[in-house]
Amino acid sequence: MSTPEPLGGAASGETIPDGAFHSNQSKADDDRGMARERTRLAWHRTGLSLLAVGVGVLRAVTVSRTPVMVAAAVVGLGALMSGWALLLAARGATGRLPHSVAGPPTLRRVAVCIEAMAVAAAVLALFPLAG
Amino acid sequence: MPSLDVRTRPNGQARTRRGRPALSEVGTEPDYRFSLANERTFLAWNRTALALLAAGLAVANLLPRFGFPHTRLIVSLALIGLGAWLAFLSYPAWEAKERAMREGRPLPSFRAPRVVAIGVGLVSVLAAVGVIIHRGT
Repeated sequence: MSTPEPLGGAASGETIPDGAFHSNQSKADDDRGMARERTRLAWHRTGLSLLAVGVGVLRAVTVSRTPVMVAAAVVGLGALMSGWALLLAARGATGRLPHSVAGPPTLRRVAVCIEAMAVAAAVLALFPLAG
Repeated sequence: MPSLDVRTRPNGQARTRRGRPALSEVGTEPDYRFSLANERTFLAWNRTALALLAAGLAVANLLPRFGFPHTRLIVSLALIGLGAWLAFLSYPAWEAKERAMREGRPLPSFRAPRVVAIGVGLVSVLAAVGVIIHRGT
């Protein structure tokens, strides 16, 4: 990997000089926080997508399930979105540091949440009128 | 606070659950912008997974029945399955890229774009056939 491509595409106008790939030094002067900001926005977009799918699951549950399941789905979605908001708040608090990249446990939890959502969606698709 | 993903061996070397050295133990820290770009890619794949889940749910719950029996269910489950597979694959892909960047190796290939393109194409053809037959009856 000799010469890395510029990050962020033409919109950001960032370029990375040769040999910068393994630099441990902060590139905050070049970057001006744009990469962190784009990443934070990506987290927000993903949270909104999660909320949209969660509302879809909730709607499907509301139409065809029992009140207990509806209450469980509401509580589950509320807990999930609260956790997401707390995660973003914690990331915002450390956002000034150069190493504000989410660690493996956080990313793994995000993937597991979406897999759980997929299981719920599959169950609702398989049994749309049960309850 | 120690990482939940890492276990320390008696010799002091940290290992992941799969027995490989922990990310923090491998190579050198890459430019943080590369790590952030990798993180954004992970999130983008997960948003794609969520979009597939939403499409699958919408097909199952909002659309009328197609011409063939169970067509709606097949289309719906295919979309949801594709979304689940993407979400399942997103974390190993992120880790493999992060590891490659730390070790200065070329980024590993990722087969998800081809599978997603083929999967969405097949589902679209199936849905189109279902709609045409439904209109014809």
